[in-house]
Amino acid sequence: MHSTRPASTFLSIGVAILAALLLLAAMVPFISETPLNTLRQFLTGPFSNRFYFGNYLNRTGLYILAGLAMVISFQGGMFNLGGEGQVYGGALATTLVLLMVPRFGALPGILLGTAAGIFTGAVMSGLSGFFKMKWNTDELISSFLLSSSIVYTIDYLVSGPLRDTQRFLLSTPEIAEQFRFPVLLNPSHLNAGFLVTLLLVVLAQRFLYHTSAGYELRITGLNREFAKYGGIPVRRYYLIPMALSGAFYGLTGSFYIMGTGYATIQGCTFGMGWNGIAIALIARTSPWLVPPAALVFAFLEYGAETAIMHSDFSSEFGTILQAVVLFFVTARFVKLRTKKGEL
Amino acid sequence: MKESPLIRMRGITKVFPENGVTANRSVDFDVQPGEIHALVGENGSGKSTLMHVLSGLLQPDSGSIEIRGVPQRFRTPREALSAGIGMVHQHLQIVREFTVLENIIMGREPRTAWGRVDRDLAERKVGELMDLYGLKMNTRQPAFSLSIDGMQKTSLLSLLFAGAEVIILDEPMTLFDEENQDALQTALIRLREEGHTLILITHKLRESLSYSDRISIMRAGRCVGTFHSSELTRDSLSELMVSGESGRLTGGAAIPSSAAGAAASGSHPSTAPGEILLELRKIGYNGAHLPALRDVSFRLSRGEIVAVTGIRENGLETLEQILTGFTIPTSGSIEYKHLPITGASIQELRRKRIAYIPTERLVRGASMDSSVAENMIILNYRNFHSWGIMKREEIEHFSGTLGQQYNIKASPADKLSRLSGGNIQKVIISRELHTRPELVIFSEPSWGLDLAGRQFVLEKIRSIKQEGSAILVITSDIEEALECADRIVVMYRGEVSSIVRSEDVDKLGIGRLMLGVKHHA
Repeated sequence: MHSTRPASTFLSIGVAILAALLLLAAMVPFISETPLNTLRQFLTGPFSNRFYFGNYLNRTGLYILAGLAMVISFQGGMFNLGGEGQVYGGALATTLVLLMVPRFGALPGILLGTAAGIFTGAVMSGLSGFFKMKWNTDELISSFLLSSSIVYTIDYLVSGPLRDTQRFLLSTPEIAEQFRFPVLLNPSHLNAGFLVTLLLVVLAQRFLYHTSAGYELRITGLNREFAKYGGIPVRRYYLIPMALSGAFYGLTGSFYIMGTGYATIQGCTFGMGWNGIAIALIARTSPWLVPPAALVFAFLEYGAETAIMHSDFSSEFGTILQAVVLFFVTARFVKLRTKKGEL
Repeated sequence: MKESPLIRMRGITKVFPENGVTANRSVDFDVQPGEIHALVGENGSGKSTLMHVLSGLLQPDSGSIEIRGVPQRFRTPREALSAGIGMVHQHLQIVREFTVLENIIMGREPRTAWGRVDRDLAERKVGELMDLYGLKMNTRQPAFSLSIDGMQKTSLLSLLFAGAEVIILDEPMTLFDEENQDALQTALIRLREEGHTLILITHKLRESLSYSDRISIMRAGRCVGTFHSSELTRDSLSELMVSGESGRLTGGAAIPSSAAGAAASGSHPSTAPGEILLELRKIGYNGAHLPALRDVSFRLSRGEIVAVTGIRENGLETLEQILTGFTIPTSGSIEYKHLPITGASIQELRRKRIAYIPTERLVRGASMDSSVAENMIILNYRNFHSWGIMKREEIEHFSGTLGQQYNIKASPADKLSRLSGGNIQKVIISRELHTRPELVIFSEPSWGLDLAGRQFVLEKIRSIKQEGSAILVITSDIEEALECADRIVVMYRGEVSSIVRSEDVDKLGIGRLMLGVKHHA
């Protein structure tokens, strides 16, 4: 029922990755003293042992959630630019709840912590949607500003009032063992949250394409005038996509705390909010394509990180490779869109 | 016939990979320099596709294009334009936030010595073009406030500004007000005198016969033949267009000449006017975005067709907005079934089973990036779910059946933007009429439709009337108003200048009323 044609999308993503890898191969001799070793580390690093591989998949899982957050936002015709703060806020909310309720059983605690993360993200982002609904404020700007101020506030809280002075990091205390997700691949961080994430991909797809609310959201996102004309209550679809998007970002923060970080450490969101935008664009806003897009994106990032650790590869170059992939995929996306516009 | 054609297209074949439709099958097409060449055919016959190939928008799968004997291959509209070929599209591309002037000069802005856009020079050059071709416009008007014909004029001017020599006009009859169809002819002749070659894509027989030097006819993706206009009559042309395969279209009844139109309106069953369904009392509107209205009052009864007609900018669009809940009137009241609906929301009006087919079909009436099925269920998608889960099979079945009933050449899963203009219209109309509405607000019914499509729509309108519903047609096409309506409300400068029974007037009479000459009866 939707426009995305997976075959051609896979092809174009494939071409983009190939282009990035060719660029990598071409550039490595110039940027590294030991080009072959660097290249090997980059390409095989994420698969070289259980620890790296598990961590690679774990990061992919978090990126899938962030990507889904943006898919829902884009499909609803809204641009949530506050993912960074929403992930951070979700993480802190989960941490605080789990620190306050140590006597709870494991499952109720985990559910409560998750709910706190989702709620925090949804409120932060939903606020921008609400402003848009009420006063036609540009959600792009309001979500960005709100998120930026939240990031600084949490940075302060973590380094001040909420800091665990026993730890060397700027960090809150760690959550109790019982609230941590079971690890799937020792000794890595890959945890049960990853499986829940895959389930959420299916749920997001079902929601968007198989429910009446999803239909309303997508039609409103594609053509608000048409939706209004057809009698869809369009005003609430300023709020709903933003709140849902924030909920997914908040959940990203929750899962990070319960599965990976166990405490809110300053800067622990490491760009997940921004990367969600990139992944949703690579996936052409299709939930099914979010996991492959996240795999690719995390691979480039993680490959670069292992290469940095084991050779003289520089972190900037890893970022350049991500940018190349994004450039190729979105350039094609833009081209498709203009072609549609002309016909 | 001159020996060397300006444009020579040979064996053009175009298959759309998305749905496998062969839009052009080995089409040969020649255009002589300095002629006005009409390209006629029904919707989906492939005439737009052929011109999209010529103007660089589409790439043919096979075939060749020669301009003045030189083989050319246009990969983009820009390349075609630099070879002097430009097209004014039916679905217009315009930067809504720019002024008319900015749209015209876009991409070719004259610069001052400092590299800034030289607005004075641009203004002067565009002014000269407007004078030369009789295309007067306010260049400082923002493009979003233009009517469709204003947008078309803007596109035409931008092609002329870019120095296009060959100009392709897609359904140009919307280019000029009904008040003065001659203006179109004048402009076309001016263009030809200035050395331009014109290709008109049209399905209006009268237009093609009276304006063009030669006519090429397309049917089912092939070019049936090219004739001098003098060789053809309306009958022979319509026969060539629709061929013999569609039985109900053969014979004179299908030809929308004014004589046939008058006969049809005379044969309307003289249904006694039923209960009053819709009543407007002294509707006024004073706002920044739309032309004003003053004291607009009229009634619409069950089983009646009323056409509101007038020249654009005289309040038709404002009335459309107000009656459909998109704009709230500043004064006056509207009653539907004797209950006030002034200022009711769109959703409330939809719940009252008021169907609405808007002028802006592609912007308001459809979501081009969604599937046919998704466009068809917008009014009743709530019937297709249980506990929020959509029943896909029922939706497929519903939209498939609707598509068959209206002979829509597409499957439910096809994206709407892949459909031809006529099929998109059918999707919209089928969806609106499926709800068994009691009141249908139908704006510009035959806009963009071909002969068969127009006939189909007018028949539909009459059959809704037979079922006891009321239809309000808002149209700037006098012939259409005369052909389908029982009564005609003529608007002039935001006021009702007259309400007449259609059998009491002729085209000329209505034309006078539209220009503000009061009716004496």
